[in-house]
Amino acid sequence: MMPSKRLSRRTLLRGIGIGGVGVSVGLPVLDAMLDGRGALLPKSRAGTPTHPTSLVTFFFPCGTKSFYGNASPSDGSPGDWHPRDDGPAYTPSRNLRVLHDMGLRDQFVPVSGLLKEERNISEDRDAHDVGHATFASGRGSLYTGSGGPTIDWVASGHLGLDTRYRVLPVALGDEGTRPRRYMTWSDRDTPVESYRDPLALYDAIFAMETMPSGPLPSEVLLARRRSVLDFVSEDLQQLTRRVGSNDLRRLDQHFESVRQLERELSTEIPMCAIDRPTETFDDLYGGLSPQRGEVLMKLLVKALECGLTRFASFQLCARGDGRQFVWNSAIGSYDSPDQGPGHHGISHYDDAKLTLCVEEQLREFGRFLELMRDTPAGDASLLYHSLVFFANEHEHGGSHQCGNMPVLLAGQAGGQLTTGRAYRYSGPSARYARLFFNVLGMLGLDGVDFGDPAAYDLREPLPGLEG
Amino acid sequence: MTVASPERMPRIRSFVFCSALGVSIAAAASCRGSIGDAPFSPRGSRTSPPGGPAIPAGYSPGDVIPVEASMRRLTNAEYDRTLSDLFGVAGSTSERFAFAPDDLVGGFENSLSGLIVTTRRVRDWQRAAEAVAQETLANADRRLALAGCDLAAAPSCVEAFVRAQGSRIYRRPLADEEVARLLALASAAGAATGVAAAQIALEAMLQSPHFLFRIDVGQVDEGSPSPRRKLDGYELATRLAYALWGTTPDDALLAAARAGELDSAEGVRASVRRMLEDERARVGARAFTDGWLRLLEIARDMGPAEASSSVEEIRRVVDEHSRGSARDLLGILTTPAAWIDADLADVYGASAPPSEPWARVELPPELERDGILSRAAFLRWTAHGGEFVAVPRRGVLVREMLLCADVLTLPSGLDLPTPDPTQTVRAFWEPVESEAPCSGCHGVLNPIGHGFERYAPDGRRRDVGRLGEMLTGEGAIALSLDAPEQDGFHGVVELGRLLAQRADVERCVVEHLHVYLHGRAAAPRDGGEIERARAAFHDGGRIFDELLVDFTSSDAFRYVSEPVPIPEGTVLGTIDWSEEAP
Repeated sequence: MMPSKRLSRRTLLRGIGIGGVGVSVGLPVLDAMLDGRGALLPKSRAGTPTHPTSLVTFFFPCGTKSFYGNASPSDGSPGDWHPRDDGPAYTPSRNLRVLHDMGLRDQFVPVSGLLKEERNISEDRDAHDVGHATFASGRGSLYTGSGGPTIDWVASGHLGLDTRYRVLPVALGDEGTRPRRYMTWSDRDTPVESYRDPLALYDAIFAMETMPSGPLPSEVLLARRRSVLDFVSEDLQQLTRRVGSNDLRRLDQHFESVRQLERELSTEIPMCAIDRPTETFDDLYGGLSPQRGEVLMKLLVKALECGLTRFASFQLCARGDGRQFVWNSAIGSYDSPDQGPGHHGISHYDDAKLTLCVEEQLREFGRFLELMRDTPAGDASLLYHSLVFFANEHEHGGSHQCGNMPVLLAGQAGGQLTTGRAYRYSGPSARYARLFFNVLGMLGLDGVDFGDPAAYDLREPLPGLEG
Repeated sequence: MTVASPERMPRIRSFVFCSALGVSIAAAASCRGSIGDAPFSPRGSRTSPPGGPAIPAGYSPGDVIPVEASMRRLTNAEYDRTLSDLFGVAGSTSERFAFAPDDLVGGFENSLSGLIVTTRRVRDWQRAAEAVAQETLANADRRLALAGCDLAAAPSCVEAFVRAQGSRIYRRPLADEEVARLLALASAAGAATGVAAAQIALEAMLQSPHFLFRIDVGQVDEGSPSPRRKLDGYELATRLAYALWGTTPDDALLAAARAGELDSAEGVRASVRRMLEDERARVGARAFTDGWLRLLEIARDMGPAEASSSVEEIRRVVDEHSRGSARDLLGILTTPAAWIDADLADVYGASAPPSEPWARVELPPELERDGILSRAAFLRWTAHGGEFVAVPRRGVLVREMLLCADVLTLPSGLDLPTPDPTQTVRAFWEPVESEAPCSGCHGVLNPIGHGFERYAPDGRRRDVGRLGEMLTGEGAIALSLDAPEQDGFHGVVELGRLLAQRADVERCVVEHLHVYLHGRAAAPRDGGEIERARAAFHDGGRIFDELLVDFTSSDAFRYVSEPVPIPEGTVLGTIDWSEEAP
């Protein structure tokens, strides 16, 4: 195993030089203050956080090779995802060895034994729709909607309103179908559209201060934009006296969007220098290559580093994308008799290849963690000050089972989560949806309500996860 | 999940199915365990939750009931065409500024439930408006033409500009108060010159809901025995322009509105006939048929490389039957005419590969390509997941697109039948079709789908299956949605002929047009209007242009029902939606 990477003095100094919201440490952190994983020793937990905590929900589709397997649900195979033991000395599973081999063992925790309840939620939807919708909302899909706001949206309502972008959803792939197309929802009917194109993301997020043509001084431009948005808000409010109540939702949706944009324009613009990507790999592997994903990840990490946002989602393709993992010759191009091409077909027919797909996805997730870990923030790394929720829509791809969900939590949430160990839960009370209460707690949002009371009767954090 | 009671969904049937037409076999090959003897329980629609808006007070089922008023956002395509018509903006503004694509709901991109507004969209609208305003006013000659006076010289010219262009942008004259607010905005935003003031006003108008939404309000119709509101000429002009042209009203239509020519059904018919002569009517017809025939969905699902020519073929064939005054629209189900490129000529076995990129040919009967159902776009799309799942998918396609039928919604958590490559397709499905609970669904869908078996998944004709079995194309379709009896047929050509004669197919065309025009699934309250229009459509020889004239001059289109007012004192941004019942 590679040794875990430490934050160097130079890294920290560079971090201070680059700037970023919340950087308040003027002195480099001594190695003695670190715990051997690049994370600060617990004493910082008691003190004032040196950087606000970020939350990223990171989605990967089509399940894993689990206990259930394709051919025989009862063949006794324990599957490739979950570790067999727990605690700090746990033995990594076959799949998780990918992250261990990347030197990331100490940056995450696998959480096993969680049951995702899809009963009561939406019996009338495609299993993948329900899986996507429940991924971060705690509610199932309703028609074309998600069922409810997602965890990133809810948390950002408490903690993300002072940043430029309340939530920044980014996606590799272009799944065409709701609700699978979206990972972030502001309410049950309203997705927050993801940025899928690196250049569109760059232009919208990092080049917002220039007009498309004819630059104005930024303070003049921003004042003018605010005035125009005020005007639009007034138009919308006046319309409540003219249109009927069936349009109220639309008016309010538009009004809230305008208000959010006004909020964005009112935040201080952090100094945030990043070049426009020159190579975006749009045509490589149908636009679904890890290279293109990494370009998107780098932009997202930069936005987090600069404090442009603290909340984000990342969708590593969706079921409908039919992703082909052709860069891995052991997987190759795949077509199935009735389940479509690529990843989804594999998930129904070939567990041996499915587990290779999972490992490719973990490599990409590992790359994301590396980027976060190598980005200084406050007195440590961006990863230290973040919580990354990584999960799939199903446990097993082919059977759509959700009895023991593949979930990782990464980052240390500013000292709230001790990584480098495995957690195992069991029994009917080990519910996937309860994890969202842990997430809220680690963000300092104890007591904030979340999810659907009708669908989930256990509405409290899982025990023993924090600290 | 409640199931709509039969009385809530009496005649107008639609269904929820995976919007990609059940791309997984989990969806297509499994039935709910509890369907018992109710194989087609109405469970809502493609575009709205069960039931839709209720029948308003003062009306009975079967009446021609005005559709409720709504605010509908412009689609990306409508936005682009509108800016092009207003200011000659070249190319697609929505693509230039990377707008998020519009969601397809029930095949259409203009559905109310899909046309949401997000912060990203507001951000994109802002950037686009700034660019369009700046570029539109950059040229002095252009400014003069738009304002009718010199913005740089006369301070009063800004107001003239706002009034002249505002009435084109908002598609109605601006109230004095609106003009005053725009001028105040320009002044407050620090515009130092007349040009700068006009530019800010233009930016604001292009971000206003009065531009970005089509807003129906209407005036109370005192003379009507049943409560309703009459749309004014400008509101109707906007409805007509986006319905028939997919873009903003032109100056002639706004002049007709101003002159009161749209106040009567007769006047509307005259304007609609003029509009149908315009080349823009092709855009509107395509926007409808693209949704009805799932062409947008096919193009998105299959990607440009695979879908482009096969979708373009269907568009060209349908154009021949949807334009002009002499063609039976349902002739698309029986026509031998095809538009082919090199790929399609090869797939269809057409004798003379075209020298031009596109050639119109009449395919001889022995090729078995009469009617659009036998063409590559539908065959390939439904077979995208392989030939096993293609069977129920083809049944779903026919029932949804042409019969507006209920199909059971997707079940979850059921055992997956795994196709066995050593079995023929029919042998694989036989037990599923004959044994409850699956038979409730597949006993109806699959007999339609089997009729397509003489086409391979790539769209080529074949007589022999994968395992050497002879393929007869024998299929069956229910005689009506309410009866279990089925009509046998051999092959898709015969299926097309059967369907082209059915009244419920005529009604389904009209229902889809209703969905396109009003942005939501047809509901029981629309039954009277749809049946009225169907009868007229049938009696008039099923001419699409005549259907448009009839539909858009009907009371159901020219009036709106009395809305439930928004409570006085409602303040946007303070409403808690979390407790709203699903």
